[in-house]
Amino acid sequence: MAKGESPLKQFEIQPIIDINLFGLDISFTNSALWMTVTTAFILIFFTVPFLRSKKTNSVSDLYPSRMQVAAELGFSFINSLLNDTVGKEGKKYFSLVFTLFMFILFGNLFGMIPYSFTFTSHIIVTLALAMGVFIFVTVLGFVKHGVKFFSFFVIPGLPIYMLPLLIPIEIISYLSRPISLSVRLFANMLAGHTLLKVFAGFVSALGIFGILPLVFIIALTGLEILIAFLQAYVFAILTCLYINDALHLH
Amino acid sequence: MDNNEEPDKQPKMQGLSFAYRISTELLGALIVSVIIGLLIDKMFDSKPIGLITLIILGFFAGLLNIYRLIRRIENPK
Repeated sequence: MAKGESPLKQFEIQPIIDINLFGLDISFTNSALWMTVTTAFILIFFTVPFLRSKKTNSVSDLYPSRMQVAAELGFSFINSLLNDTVGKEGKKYFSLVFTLFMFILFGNLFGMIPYSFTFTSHIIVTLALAMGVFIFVTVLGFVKHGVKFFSFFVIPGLPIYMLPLLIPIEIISYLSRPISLSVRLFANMLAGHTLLKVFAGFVSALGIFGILPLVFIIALTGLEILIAFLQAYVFAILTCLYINDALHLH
Repeated sequence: MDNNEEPDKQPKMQGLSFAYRISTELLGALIVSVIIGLLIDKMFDSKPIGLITLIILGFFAGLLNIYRLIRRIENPK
């Protein structure tokens, strides 16, 4: 980090290619660049090992390649997650949960590369993802149950005089889902990356004693990678739980 | 949540994920209720009453979220 540079400078969005469409600024920014890189990487990660295994004339068909094992591990991880939380009907929504999980996971992990950009550290990106999940789940609930979906806000077996108090609470609790979902991911990535940069600033400022924050940064980087994985996992498991709620209502 | 494939890895990660979830459930409910409260005040011109009521309701909603979360830890499905 250069002297006098803010630890928050890493979150600045810089346009790479300026595009102005009808007065709308839709420039290709560094955020968009890293989203493209993430998507391209996921595409390669999940197509290349299976292209190879389609060759029928080699012995290597009998055992999977390392990349194939890695890809299948990701597949079975989300598959078992959906099976545990939603059950058999969850199979239909596999592609949604899997896409979200992989996009967030690799977005977080690519953000750990020095000089890269962490697009999940922007609330607008995470809120867009969370609102997508929220709208999907609400529409799913209405499609599956129709007007009966509103009974989701009524706790069964409750005395009738408690309803005017508890229905607003339930509605706030339901509306808070996309907010807490997006704030969790965004705040964790923002705080973690800022902390890393702040401690990196100490290394050069402390001279010979800079070895102490340096050791700390190494430990913190490990923690950040764990958090990167964990936040993607939390996002995926909550999507599963919301789908389960929409399908089964209580 | 019983997973017979990875018996020892799954619970540890779940504990951590619960820890991260609890911290933001309260915040999310409060943010939503403050926004709704301010909107109600703007619509009905009832300056502090809507906000105060909604903040109290939002606090309870956050507690309800946390209660549901903890019930899920104690008794997973």
